[in-house]
Amino acid sequence: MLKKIALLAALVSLLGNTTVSAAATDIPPAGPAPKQIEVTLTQPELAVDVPDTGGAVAAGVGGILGALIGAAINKAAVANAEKRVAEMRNALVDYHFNDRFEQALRAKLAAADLAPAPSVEYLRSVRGRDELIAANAVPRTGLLVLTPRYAITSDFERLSVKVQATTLDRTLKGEKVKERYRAFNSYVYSFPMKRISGSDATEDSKRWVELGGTEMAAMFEEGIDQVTDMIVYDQTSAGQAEAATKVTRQGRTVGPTPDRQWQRTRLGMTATHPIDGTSKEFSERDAARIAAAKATTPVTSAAALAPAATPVAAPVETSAAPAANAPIAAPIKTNAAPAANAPAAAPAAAPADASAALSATTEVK
Amino acid sequence: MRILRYVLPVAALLAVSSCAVTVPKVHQVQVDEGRLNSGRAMPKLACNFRLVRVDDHRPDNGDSGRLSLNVLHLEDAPGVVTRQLHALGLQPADAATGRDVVIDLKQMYMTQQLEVKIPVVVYGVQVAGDAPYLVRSDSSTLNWWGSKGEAQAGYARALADANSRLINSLNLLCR
Repeated sequence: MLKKIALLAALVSLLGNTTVSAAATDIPPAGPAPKQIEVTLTQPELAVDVPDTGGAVAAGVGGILGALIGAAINKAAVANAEKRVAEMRNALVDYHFNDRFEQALRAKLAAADLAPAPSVEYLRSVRGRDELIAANAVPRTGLLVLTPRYAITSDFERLSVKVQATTLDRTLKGEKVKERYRAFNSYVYSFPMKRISGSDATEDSKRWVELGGTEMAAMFEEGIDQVTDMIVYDQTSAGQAEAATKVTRQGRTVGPTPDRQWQRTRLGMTATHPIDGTSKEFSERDAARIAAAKATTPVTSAAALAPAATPVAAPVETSAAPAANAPIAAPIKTNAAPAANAPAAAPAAAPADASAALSATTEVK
Repeated sequence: MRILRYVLPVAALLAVSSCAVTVPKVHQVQVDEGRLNSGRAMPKLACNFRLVRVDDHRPDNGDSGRLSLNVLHLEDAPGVVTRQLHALGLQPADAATGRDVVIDLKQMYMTQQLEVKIPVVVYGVQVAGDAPYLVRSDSSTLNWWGSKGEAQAGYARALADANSRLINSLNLLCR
């Protein structure tokens, strides 16, 4: 306790000295330091959010027996969820969420023309102490760490794109790297599917699969579009001023434009777009946009249009597929449906070429 | 529920204002190919197939997944798959007989959720120019220690599971 009091006293003394010193030397105030942002993109495939039911049981029972029972409960829950999500993952096997998120955030931060421009680092692997030291990490104050996640709930009723935003201070002392968390925030855009009475998780998972990889990829595109807009909005002066005002328990509706309206809560920003589970509104909307772009662009080559529209690797359609664990798994209909945002005429953007094109633009800054 | 109204903000405040946490050491583990043989009894090929090539179309990730504080790296993943499939009876590309098989390695990673480790291997399989299909492993198991050996054993199980499904699917084409 004494140590804390001494530290506090030293800090107060230091702040006081700094103020006096600045006034005395009359140094012109420097502009605000550029925001430092780290984006951790390590999720390999669509995740399933399984609640930790076993943990609660373990706590209730207690001891090693409780831990074993809890682990067994969680193991069963995760194994069931993994089986149900396999076909959804198959349908999305050529959709590379991390590449698409990075592309969207890069483009939007550049277009926002923030002053000063933030310094953004995109990470494809977690960094521990040694990696931070090897990368010549420097102390950071107010470092914003963004961790995107795309997932479905274990009841298979809601698909979401979520970004966990953590503000922290990072200090380095010899061989030690320490981080002090200052704030937690989240940006969530989700798609709840209309419930069908009596429909269980297995049946609901099939409804997603029936929507198809193209539609699900288009939904993730919409989710990425929305959450990256939320992030950029919070970096603008208007967004920061709005965020600084008190948020009531009910939250408030915010957003820069009428088609970008979100709910600001004390935990971050959220928005939902309910779907009926049958109509393919996102892929059809994207196809219409691309058709309109083709109609107004004096270019005949569909391939030439691809960069203008958001290039997405065509997801694999597995709607006619048997279970992923069947001896013969899903046949890939490589020319079944137009890619989410690719030109309709493009022959299902050969997954290999598309992913190669995406990865070529994902170097770490 | 009412008590949560007070407990949660206090917990959040404590979390935010707590002492700095030390960033842990992360172990960069090179997966040893010699430890990727699970010893599982595998099905036998019922007719001849030639493995033309194994393409690597995994997403551009910086590693091959992780388990606890072990970040896994598998060098030459297509080579590992090629050697395992040759060992299971697929002929080399220049063999005189057999239908051509092209494998597209789409995913190979380790992840974990709650107390479960989830190694995943996904192949796109094309036989004799026919429409390709997917083979996906399913081999999640409890994560006991989160050790390097456990991670490598998990990888071995997932590879064996994917290969077993692949052989079974090829055998259906021999009829």
